[in-house]
Amino acid sequence: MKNGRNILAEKFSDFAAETEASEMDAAWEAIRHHLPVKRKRRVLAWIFLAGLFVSAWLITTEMSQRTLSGTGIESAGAGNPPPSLSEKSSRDIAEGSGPGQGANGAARPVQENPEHDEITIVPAKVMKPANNSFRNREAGESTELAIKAEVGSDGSVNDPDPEMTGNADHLNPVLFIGFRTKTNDSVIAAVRAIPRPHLLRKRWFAAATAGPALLVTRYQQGRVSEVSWQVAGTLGYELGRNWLALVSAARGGAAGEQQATSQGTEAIVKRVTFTSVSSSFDSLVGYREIIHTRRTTQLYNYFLTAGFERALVRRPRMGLSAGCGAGVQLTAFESETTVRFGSDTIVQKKTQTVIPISSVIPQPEEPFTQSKRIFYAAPAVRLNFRLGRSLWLTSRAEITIPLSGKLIQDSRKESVLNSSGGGPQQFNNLDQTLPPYPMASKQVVLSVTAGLSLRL
Amino acid sequence: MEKGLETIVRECKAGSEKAYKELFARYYRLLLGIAMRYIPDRDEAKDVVQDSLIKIFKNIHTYSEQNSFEGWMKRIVQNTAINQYRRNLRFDPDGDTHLEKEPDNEFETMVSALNAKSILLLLHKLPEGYRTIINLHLIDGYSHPEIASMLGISPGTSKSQLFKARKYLRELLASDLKLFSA
Repeated sequence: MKNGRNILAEKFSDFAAETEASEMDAAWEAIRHHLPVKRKRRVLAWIFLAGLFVSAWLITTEMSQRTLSGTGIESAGAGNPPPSLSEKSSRDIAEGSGPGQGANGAARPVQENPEHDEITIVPAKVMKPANNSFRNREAGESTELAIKAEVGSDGSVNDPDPEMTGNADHLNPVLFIGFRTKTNDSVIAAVRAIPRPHLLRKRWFAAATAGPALLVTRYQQGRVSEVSWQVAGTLGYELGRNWLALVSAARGGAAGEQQATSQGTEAIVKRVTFTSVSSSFDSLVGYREIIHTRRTTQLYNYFLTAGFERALVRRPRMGLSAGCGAGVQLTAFESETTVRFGSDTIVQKKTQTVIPISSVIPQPEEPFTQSKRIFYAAPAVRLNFRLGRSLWLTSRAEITIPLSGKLIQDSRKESVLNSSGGGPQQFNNLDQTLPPYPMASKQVVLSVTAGLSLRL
Repeated sequence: MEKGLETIVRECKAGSEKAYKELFARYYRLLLGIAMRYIPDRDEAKDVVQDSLIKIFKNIHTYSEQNSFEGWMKRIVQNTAINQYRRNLRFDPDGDTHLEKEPDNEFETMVSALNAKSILLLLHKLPEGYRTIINLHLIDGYSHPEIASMLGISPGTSKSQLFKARKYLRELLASDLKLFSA
């Protein structure tokens, strides 16, 4: 007779668990991203390079278009032709800035500032962007950040069911186009490379993303196109089968370029100093025409977001999840402004480091410092569909609600009017010839992002 | 025509995703069955199989064709399952060690009347320590010295635990049968 050992061994010799096909699919999806497939890295690198190339090409196209328009302005010498009605937003029209008005066409009057007994250049109109493109841009970035944060949720190596949210973003390069409703006219086209999340411990994981993005924003003065480089890191913790806690930190390095051509008149002030009697006086010598002003900015956005996400529907071909994050965003920028007066060119470079949280009050001597810190909350919903074996349609809707924040742009007008200090007055700060870089207001922004995601 | 296991393994070693998938499709259920013997919770068992398969795929180049591939995979699943629970494993103090020398006919009769699925349900009712010993010794065929080194216990403890585990299982079987006949 067989002993118990043999009987049990025999009973279980071919024992296989019963599994459903969907269960098998999910298990395979969880495993396949850890496979040591040799060609995978190479393909990833190629896609990344292709993304770079496409971005570069798009930028070149955009820049060449802009150069053409710039040439026209320079040769005309009479200012930037006003944007067509179709280009202007309904808000512009409502505000009455019709063709021929606004900063583009108007010369800047010269006023005397009685307080300082000196000549100050006052913009004809403190220009207001057609929309808060900067705000929107950042809202867009926070959307992207949220998407990146989701990388953790989907790419969690610890997640027993990678179809949890039906997302395919994990571990893959993501190509998406973002749209903004109402408060935003910006369009983002980006290529994202998302390496494999790294399992730190049983339930902890880390994920990262990097990639270029091309952002085109329309505002009153025309379009602004920027190429941004973004890297982000996500630290995640799986709370349960459907719950994830995520902390994301991102640095959005936007190699932004903004060009604005403003025509105006510069007052040339000559200072004569009598050292022997320690006194001086300024005399107005004349005016000269500004032909072209150009500003290049490089933006740095730092985000830190913490949030939770929960899968609501998990199906092999569809996933729905909802989450909410809250965080802080710090912005700093570096800008270079070039002004052309006929054959003369003046270049001014200004570097602004990141603003510490405790010190966001602008310095009077830097009237154009534009930095900010915003605390925000961002509830979001994500819905994804599987289109094919490796192709997913990913979409996300997010509402960014600013909770508190300091916007330094508000001080600009006052700073211009009160700008003091002696010396040759011509363009102590060349940014005066440009409208302020559009900054955020405390505005709730709804962002919708949709894209295609291809799994390798 | 179905590919031979040797070919699949060779292709896996070359890094072919298709071969990995084939291997997965062929063995996932079997490996899950093994994991479920050790771990009652199905989701946790799936986790163990997932971790094991990742280990298998990553280390497939170290597998030598002279050994049984299936055995190699099973061992990885067993080790992963045991490692997951090793810290929590509790064994009764040795007390009187009764070494079972004679075959337990009653136990064998009862076990032989059940199918694998029913036995699995009974195994899940056992305390973790007992279940592990029964799995390792009675089903997977490890000797007591091997079990001792795997679990960090003495061979004597392994034997006494097995004795108690069998007794416990027999009681469970008896009560289940009684329930059934009532």
